[in-house]
Amino acid sequence: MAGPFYDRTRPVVARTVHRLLGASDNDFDDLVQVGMIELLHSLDRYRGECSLDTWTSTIAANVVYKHIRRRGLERTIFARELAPEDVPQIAHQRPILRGIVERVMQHLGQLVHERAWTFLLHDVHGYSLDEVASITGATVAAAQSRLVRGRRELHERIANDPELAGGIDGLEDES
Amino acid sequence: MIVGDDRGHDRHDDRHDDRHDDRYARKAARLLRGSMEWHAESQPADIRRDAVVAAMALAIAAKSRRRRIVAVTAVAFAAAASVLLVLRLTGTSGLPGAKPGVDSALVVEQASGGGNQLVRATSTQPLPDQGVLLVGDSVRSGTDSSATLGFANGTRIALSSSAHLRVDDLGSTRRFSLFRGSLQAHVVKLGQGERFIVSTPNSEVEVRGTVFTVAVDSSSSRCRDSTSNSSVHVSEGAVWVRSGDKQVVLQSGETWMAPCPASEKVDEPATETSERGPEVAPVPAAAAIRSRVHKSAASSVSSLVAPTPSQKELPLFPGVAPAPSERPAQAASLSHLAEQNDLFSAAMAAERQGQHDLALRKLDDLIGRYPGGPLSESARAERQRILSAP
Repeated sequence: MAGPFYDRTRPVVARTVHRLLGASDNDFDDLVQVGMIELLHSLDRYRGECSLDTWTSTIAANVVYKHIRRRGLERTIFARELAPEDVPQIAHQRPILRGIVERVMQHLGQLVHERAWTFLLHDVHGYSLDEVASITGATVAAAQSRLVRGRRELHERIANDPELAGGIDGLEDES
Repeated sequence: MIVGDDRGHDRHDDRHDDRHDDRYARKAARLLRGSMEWHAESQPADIRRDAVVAAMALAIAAKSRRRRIVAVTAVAFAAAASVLLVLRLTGTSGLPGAKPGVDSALVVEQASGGGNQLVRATSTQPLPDQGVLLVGDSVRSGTDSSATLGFANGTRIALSSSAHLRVDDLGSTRRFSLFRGSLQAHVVKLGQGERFIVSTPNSEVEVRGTVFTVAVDSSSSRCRDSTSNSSVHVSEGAVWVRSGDKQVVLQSGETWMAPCPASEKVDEPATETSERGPEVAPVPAAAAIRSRVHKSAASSVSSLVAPTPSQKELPLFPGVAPAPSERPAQAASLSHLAEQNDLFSAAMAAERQGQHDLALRKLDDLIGRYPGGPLSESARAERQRILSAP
C-alpha cells in the first residue's frame, strides 16, 4: 500500500514544492519529505470531495507556505534569480522573456507578503480561493480581498515601470 | 497540475472585468504560468524511495494499530459505563462479594486518650489515627478515651469511653455490634438499598439518616440478672429498634430501653407503670407513636420507659444534644417483623424495577409465611394492584 501511494502522490508533492519554492532551493528535498509526512498524517481527513491530486497539492502548498513564513525568507522566493532548471522554456528559447519574468518576480517581492502569495497561488498556480484560504490560513473573504488588492498593486507597479510594461505589451502583441 | 473547473486562473482569464484596471497583473500571471511549466522528465529521482516507502509502511501500520487500540479502548469504556449505569439503575452498589469502595472505607478520624485499642484477627494494637478499619475489626475505647470513626460520605460514629464496637459489614449494609459502652451515630441520608444497623446484645437499631445514641450499660441495676441493658436515644430523624421479636419506631427526642423480662424487672418507676400500663397508653404522644408504628408495619406497643441518667452523659457531637424533654416511646410487638419488612421491601423494589413476577413471588411468600402479620393486608393490596395493572 505504501509503495503505490508514494508513487502516486510524490510527483504531485515534488511538483508543488518545485513551483512554489524552486528545485534549486536547499530545502527542496526536505520539504518534499515533510509534505509526504503531512500527507500521511492528513490521510484520514481526505473525504474524496476533490481529486487526490488537488488535495495532495493543497497539502504540499500549505507545507511550503508554512516553511517560507517560518524561515523568514519569503522575499527571496520572488527576488531570487530563476535557475535554468526552473524555467526551461525561457532559458533555452527566449532569453529576453526570462528577464521580464525576473523583473515581475522582483515586483511581486515588493508586495505585501499575503497579497503576493495569494496572487501567486490563485492566478499563477491555479488554486481556487477555498484552497488558497486553506493554504494561507485565512478566510475565503480575506483571500478574495488579498487577491484583488494584490492584482491592483502589481498592475500599478508594472504600469509605473515603462520598460517592463512595454516588454509585456510587446510579448502580448507577438503572441 | 490538475486544474478543476473552479481553478483560479481559469476563472480569472475568462473574466474580462474592466472595473479594476489590473490588466498588467493578468498578463504577468499568464507570463509566470508559462514560465513555470513543469516537465515530468525534469523531476529529480528520489534516491531514497525504498527507505521512504518502508517508513511510510511502518507509519501506516502504526496508525492502524493506534486506531485499533482507540477502538478497543472506546468499547471497553462504553462497556464499563454501561455496567456502572446498570448497577446504578438497579440500585446495587457493586457485584456480590465486591470490596467496598472509597466511600465504604471506615476511617479512624480521631482517637483521644491512650487507651484505645484495635483488635484485628487475634492481634491487639493501639488504635491508629487515620487508620482504616476492616470488616471484623473491633475497637475498644479506654476508660478515659474516646474515638470517632467516619465514612467519606459524612457519616460519623463517636465512641464513648469504655466502649467495645465491632465492624460486621461495610457493604451496602453497614452493620456494627456494640457490646459495651455507648456510641453516638450521625448518619447521613442513605441511598437506595443502603442500610445502617447497630446491634447490641439484646436489640438492633436500624436507621435511615439521623443522629442517635446507642448505649449498652452492663452496670445498670434496672433489670436484675441482666448482663447488659441497651438503650437508644434519637436526636434527629427516626430509627427502628428491634428487640427480640418486637420493633419500635423512635422519633426525634424519644428514648427506648430494652425491656426487662417480667420476672426480672426491678427499680422501674411506679408512676410509669401505674399511669400508663404496659400496653397502649391513652395519651396523645402514645397515640401519635402508635400511628407511626402502624405506618411502618409495627403492630402493637409493648412498653414505655423513661430516660435514664446515663443517656444524658452521652452526647459526643457538638450541637447535637438530647431533647430536654425525652418522651417515652412505645414498643411494637411483632412476630418476625424484620423478615416481613425485608420481604415487603424487596417486593416493592422489584415492582419499582418492573420485575412484576419477582414482586408477586415476594408478596406471595410474605402472605404465605405470615398470613396474619401486620403487612399481610398491605401485601394483598399490592398484589391485587400488580395483578390488575395493565
